[in-house]
Amino acid sequence: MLDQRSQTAGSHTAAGLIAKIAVLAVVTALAVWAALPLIDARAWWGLGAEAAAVAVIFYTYLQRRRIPLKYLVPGTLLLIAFQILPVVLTIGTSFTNYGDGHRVGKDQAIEAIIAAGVQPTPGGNTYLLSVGESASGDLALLLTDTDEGTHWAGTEEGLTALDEVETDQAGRITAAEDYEVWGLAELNERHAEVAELAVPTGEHSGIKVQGLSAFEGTSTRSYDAGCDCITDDEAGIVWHADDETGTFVTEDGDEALVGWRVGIGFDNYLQVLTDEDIRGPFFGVFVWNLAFGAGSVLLTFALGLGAAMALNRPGMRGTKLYRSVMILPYAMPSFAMLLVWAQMFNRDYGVINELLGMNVDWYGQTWAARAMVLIANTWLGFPYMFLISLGALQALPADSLEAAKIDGATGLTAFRKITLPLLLVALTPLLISSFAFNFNNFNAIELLSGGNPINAGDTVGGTDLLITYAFRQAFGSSSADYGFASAISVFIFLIVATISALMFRATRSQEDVYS
Amino acid sequence: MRRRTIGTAAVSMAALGAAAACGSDDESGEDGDTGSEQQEFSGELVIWADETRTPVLKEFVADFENQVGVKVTVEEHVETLREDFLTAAEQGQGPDVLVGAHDWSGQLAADGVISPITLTEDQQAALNPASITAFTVDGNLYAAPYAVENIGLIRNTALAAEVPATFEELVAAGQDAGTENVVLLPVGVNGDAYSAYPLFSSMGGYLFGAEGTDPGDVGVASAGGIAAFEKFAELGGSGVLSTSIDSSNATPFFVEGKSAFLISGPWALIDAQNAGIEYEVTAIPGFEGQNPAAPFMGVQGFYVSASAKNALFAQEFVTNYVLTEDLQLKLAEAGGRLPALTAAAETYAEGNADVQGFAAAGEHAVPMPNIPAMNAVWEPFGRAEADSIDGVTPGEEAATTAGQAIADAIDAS
Repeated sequence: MLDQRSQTAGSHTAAGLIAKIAVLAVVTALAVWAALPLIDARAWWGLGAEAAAVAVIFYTYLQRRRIPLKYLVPGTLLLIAFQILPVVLTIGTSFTNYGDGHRVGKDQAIEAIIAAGVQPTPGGNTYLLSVGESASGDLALLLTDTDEGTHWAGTEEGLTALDEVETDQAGRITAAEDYEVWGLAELNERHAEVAELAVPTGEHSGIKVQGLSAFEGTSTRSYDAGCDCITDDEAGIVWHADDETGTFVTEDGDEALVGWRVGIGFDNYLQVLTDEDIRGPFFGVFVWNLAFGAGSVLLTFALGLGAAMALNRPGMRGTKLYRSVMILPYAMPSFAMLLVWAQMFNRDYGVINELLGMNVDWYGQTWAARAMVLIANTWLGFPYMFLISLGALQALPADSLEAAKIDGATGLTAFRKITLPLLLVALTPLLISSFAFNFNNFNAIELLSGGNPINAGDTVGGTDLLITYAFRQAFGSSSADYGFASAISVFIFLIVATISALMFRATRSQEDVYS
Repeated sequence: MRRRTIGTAAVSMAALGAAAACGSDDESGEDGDTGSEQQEFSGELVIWADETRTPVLKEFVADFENQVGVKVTVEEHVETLREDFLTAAEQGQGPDVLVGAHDWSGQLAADGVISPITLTEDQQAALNPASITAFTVDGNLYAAPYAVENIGLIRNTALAAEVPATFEELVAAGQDAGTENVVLLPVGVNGDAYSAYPLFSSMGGYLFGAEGTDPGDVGVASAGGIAAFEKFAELGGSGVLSTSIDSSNATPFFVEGKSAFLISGPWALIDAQNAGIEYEVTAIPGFEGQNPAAPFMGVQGFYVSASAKNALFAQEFVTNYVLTEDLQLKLAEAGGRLPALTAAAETYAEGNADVQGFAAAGEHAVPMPNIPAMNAVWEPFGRAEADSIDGVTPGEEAATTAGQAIADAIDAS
């Protein structure tokens, strides 16, 4: 059996076979571990997807042929899980009204609205609660009125006085005729049954259970599945369910407090396109966003490449020390560094103004603020460019440069005609990805300038990127609106994808020229 | 009164509980029978709290465990407690009880993830009335309050001996002190509506009508609101207020003696004490001839999750156990905030000048509005405050544009 499998599986050594079996065993274990909660939640689609993934893995590695597949499958599965799935989920969310006020399902929303209609009867009694079960299995609330020292059994017929009871010191009933009194564990487990037990005390009022107590109160609201509506008898309000918007509304258009999650089609996208607050400043933000992305890449690349060329010179001493120091900004958490930079730019107490003897209001003037975010972002980003430039420089063919030298090209000319073009062939994809990253560099803006300067009444600040602007639109104003935020994210994704695609196309033609 | 409540609760729960072992009538309850016996629990209760409250809660829930016979688990959620709770609760998961601030209640109630609770008239009467208002949404109470806090005026007594009766006196005393700053009121480049509210309210500004619940009546651009922003512009022009002072540097500057006055909350006292500064806490003075300066009141409380798996224990815990004086005193000592139970607050304030000072400063305090529309206020209000202090926008214009921006944002949602 084992032999046969080792042949079909294509492992050549015993160690390889054992490793393969171990890995596949771990995969199986993980699959079972992940399947249990999925079955529990009846998420059949998720279960199906999981089973399919496991099947693909087993098929791939338990046969001899299709070698390329063996290399492609892990990467593809991870790409689906961590890249494609989030995008799909974001797009899915963008078609819903998911956000504050629309978080839960319809059933939970109905429950919450009805629960909010329970009011204690003014001057009504409060009781200590026990629960008893009769021989026939009927439940009764066993109640002690501590003020008057009376005992009651509450059933669907109402309250009946109990004479023969045993109580504890507080007065809570521990034993009563005809009833078996529940212990605490049973009470907690079957709490739902107790909560459903309606014990009337008057035309509208009844006994409401809360913890180990009960009080006399009224449930003013009820749900009717027939008309799909909730009626509040006391206030005389009827809310009808509107399944298009996920809310209960009265005829006057007043919404109930809690709504639920529904699909709303393209409404979020239409809102992005028609909202004056977004359309108006969009172009200005977009241009600055492009400038910020391009500026960050150019400045970090220039600084990083300069430093790399300096350290790459033969005969340069102490390069190890310089390199270590140079990596520092990259090694420190940018989160903390950005907050430090933000303090350094304080107008009155900041290090920058004090050192340079200036009085620039870095947060108050548009261009000063833009300079500030570019300076700080350049400092944060150049070590990365330094690292990749250094690597690329060391990989350059020495003969090309030598040949150039013999032809009389030295210094700037050699750099411009030989070094830079050769470097760019290798580095352009990285520069493009750096641009895409900085285009959406939420942290740099949010932690440094917070989009400032924002003038009173404006919705957009001088340093706002599309992403920080979208964030404020979605979360900053009234309450979280994930559906709307997702729609904006999809737009940003389209913009970045288009720009990147165009740039990659340009690179390809460049490669043709130099290779 | 206090003895009876605790005793009753303890005894009654012990009798009901499966573990009848600990039916001690002993008031102190501290000489525990914890060690020798293995306790058998008849259920579980899960509480989520933030990093500052978790250690205290862990300590005091042991009493509840013994008395009721229910295992209580307190889970710490650093920084993201509210988000974590929302994410879990909207899928029917999460804890039975959530410890949080009152200004979450509007959002959580509208999301349908917390359950209303009912307190008896006696229980309500024993609480600070504003703390009940703070947790009331749409006429329902959603949490049992346990602590209240507000900002006050912290004065360096070596630099200014007299308690200023008006804000004008404060400015004069601050200038006489000869320090770098007249007063340290956090503003920051984005403004700080929370710190500015006392001065705003003194000039007659208000938010959401008289009750703080009407999103249709914003009050930023009311006559009083405009007067307040003009005052900000005036105080900014004379250098009394500055956007360079923010919540991160105000306390350090006070500790360094850069001003005689700091407007902040109980959290600022630790630094002042560590630095050995002689200080006194008093009410923030209003402007001469105007209303008293009313700070925002923040209230902490215990919510019951709508998806609580142990709803019975959660309700019992929140409606009976949290409202005991003993517990509220313990939480107050650990957190330095005034208990919401009036009796506990009096005990706690006895002989504690700082607490009395903040309590006096909170005499006119209004609960920070808990309606979701409040989220629309912070940013435009703060920006208008910063702009008028910087002199970028005249006070009246700043007030009207902010009022308009807030009203627009509320309409849009």
